Amino acid sequence: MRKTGEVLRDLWRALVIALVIVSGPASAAALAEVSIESSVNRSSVEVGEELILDITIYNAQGRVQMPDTSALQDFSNFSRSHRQEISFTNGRSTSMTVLSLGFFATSPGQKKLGPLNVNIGGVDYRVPAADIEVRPAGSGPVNARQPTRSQRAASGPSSVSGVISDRDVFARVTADKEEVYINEPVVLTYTLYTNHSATFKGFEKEPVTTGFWAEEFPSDKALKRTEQILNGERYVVATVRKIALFPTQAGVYTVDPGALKVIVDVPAQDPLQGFISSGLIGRSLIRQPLATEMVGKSLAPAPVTVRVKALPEQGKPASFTGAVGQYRIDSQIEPREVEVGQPVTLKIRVSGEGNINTVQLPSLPQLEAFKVYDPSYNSNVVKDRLKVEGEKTAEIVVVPRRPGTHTVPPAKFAYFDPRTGAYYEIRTVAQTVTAKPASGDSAEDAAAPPPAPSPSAKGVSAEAADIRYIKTTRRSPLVPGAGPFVDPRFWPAVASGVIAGSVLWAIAAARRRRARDGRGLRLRRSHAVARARLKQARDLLKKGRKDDYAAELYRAAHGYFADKFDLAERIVTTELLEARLTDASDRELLTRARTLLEELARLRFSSSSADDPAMQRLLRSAEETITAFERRRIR
Amino acid sequence: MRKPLLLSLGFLLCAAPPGIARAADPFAEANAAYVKGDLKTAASGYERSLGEQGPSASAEYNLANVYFKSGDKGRSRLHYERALRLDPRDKDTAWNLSVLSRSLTDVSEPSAASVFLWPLRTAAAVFSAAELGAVFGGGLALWVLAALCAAFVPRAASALSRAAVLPLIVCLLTGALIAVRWQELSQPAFVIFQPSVEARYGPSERENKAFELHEGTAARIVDRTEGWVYLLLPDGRFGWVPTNSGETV
Repeated sequence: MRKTGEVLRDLWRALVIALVIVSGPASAAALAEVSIESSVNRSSVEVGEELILDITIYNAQGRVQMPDTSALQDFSNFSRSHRQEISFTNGRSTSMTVLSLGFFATSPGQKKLGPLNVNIGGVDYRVPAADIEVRPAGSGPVNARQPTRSQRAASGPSSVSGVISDRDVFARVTADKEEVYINEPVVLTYTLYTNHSATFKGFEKEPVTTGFWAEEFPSDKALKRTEQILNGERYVVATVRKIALFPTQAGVYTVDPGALKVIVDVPAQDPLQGFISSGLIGRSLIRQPLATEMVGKSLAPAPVTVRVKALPEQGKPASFTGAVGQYRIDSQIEPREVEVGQPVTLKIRVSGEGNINTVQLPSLPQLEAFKVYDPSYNSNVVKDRLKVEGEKTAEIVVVPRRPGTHTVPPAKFAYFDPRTGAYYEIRTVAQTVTAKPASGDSAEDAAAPPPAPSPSAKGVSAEAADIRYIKTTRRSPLVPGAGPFVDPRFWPAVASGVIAGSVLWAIAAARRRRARDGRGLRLRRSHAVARARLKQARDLLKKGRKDDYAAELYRAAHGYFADKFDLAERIVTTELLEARLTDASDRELLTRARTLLEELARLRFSSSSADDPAMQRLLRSAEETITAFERRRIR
Repeated sequence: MRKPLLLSLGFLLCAAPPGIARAADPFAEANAAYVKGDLKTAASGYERSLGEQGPSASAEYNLANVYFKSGDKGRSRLHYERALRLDPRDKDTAWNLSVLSRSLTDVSEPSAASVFLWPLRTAAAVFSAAELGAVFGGGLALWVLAALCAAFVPRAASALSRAAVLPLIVCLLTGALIAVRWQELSQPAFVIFQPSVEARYGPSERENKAFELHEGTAARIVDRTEGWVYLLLPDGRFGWVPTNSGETV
């Protein structure tokens, strides 16, 4: 019989062993899922040409750091990018981190790009060097992207099965020419290669065509599907897009072609499984066991370099306005016989192959015999034959001013033909119009101009009308600035103005009312006037001018009562005051006023005999009486 | 006395260092480059003119023409809109903008305007924001000035109150035009530069896509957040796009 302790000890040992057994493979599996592949887009480049190194990391555990490229002797790193993709295959998810590094070679010879160390989650993984042949500059054409064999990292097992690699599905962009003139088209062709069933889902990132006028060819014309054998493998090859780029400036341009999105159909139940939506389907060439998920893939073709040459100066006609291609010109006028003052339409048409949209039609010289109106334009661009061609027409209304046979001189048009490298100047034939004298029309009708052709009335298409010419003089705005409304100070200032204005208008209105009220004005001013006169009287008394003092005091009192009761000064009497002060409380006031008036009357006629103290007393009496009246509000 | 002074001035002018010679006009230089077909130099010349010589509808218009010729519809639209904002009455700008608009991928028809607001909107569109602001501010200032004079000179108040009616009416009319254009004045326009951009229901790449916009499309900014702007299209649709997908007019 075993003891409990021994049993427990055995159980504990079994548990530990089981944990080791389970965790070992799991750890190994976890470690085994980290794998790295690297590839370069070219194995042979010229000095100064771009070379892209892609490092694809599957199931990275931890943060992925960009490798240090400073130790590379023969290559210079000019760009770095980093993207993440996740795909589902056979019920499992796989994450990929792709580091793209752009280099250019600095010296010719057989070189090694690498080795590089990539740090993933604190662990360094070695990416072996790639052999690159560097040719001297100018020794050969630029190659489009071709997939090369991938190289495996030193650590970790091979990539997870079921994941679509760059070898299975890839895209190329090719230019039909490497060197063009300004405004000569270079056609970019996007070609998709796949050895799996795949659906083209359009562009994840559009091409960057800055510096070019771009014309897209119709997709139904551009789409083409074939099969090819490449490196021993069969691919379905599809042309998915064609764009004509017309460069506007001379120089060397690198066009970023954007990125295509495809859904790769990893399941292969039916090798000939058909089309889905508007995408492209490749014939399935499944090599792997059946899976049930679709894998999304972003394909970023290598940039395309285009060299643009300037147009030659030698032989350039004066009438040349930038047209490049092969063109014809013709003209037509109708009707050929009109009355004076009636309109005639002159049509000038330029047709051919080239960037029709930017063709500038010739303008008419000064026509003395005609009144010429602004032209309207109509253009028709055709791309059915996978080249940009079409015609552009100007319709000009002209009105003969006087009778007779008038000639519209030929219009000249110059273009540069890149095929021959020469300029050509072509012209229309001269057109004649016979203008008969106006008959039966009034003078106003004959002189009335025809309605100017309206572009919208002629049903002009989107590319129809040409833009108007640049301004030759610089004008500044009449009122500069973008407007004050979004300035945070503006509306408080407006509110302040409105409030201030309203208050001021109210004050002005009140003052007007008061100014019109004569009686009220006298009443309001009575005390001030009386005080001023009393002060004047005091000054006169001090100076010893008794007669003047008496007169001034008399005026002060009488003037006060006159203003108070709206009377004439000379008729102020005690009786009148009595008639106005009818209230019982006014008895005392009336008595004081009567006393004052009587004393003032005596003083006035006997001022020389009055002594100073008496005069002073009278002055004080007048002040007190007036003050008492002020306390008694009289309206 | 005068002669020696004039002679001295003349000597000073002649002896002036070469730097005082008249500075080149970047606008004229850009025009010359445009005529030659050197669009890149013309574009940088017009940009320099706008930076050094201040805003100008002519310079914006010419720059827009350069971008039109270069095939950059987004920037062309941006500068035509700026030219129109500075000079709403310029027919050439309106014409070229209509030509450009008809070549754009997105056609956004504005929702039907009220029959009462349409005449006001039409009248308001004739004036730039700066002109409306100047007229409104000027009218208000005159009205306040008249009030000030009337308050201190009661005898003239009657005449001043009659004279103040005109600036008051100008203020009210201009205020009505401003109110009608308020949405446009307070919400700057945004022009898409990228060939195509997805407008989303929220300001994040994880939000669902609402619709697609293409270069040259213009819309009003009604809201912003870090890295995103919320646009209102003329047909009433709303959507968030990344700030770097275009530029504000």
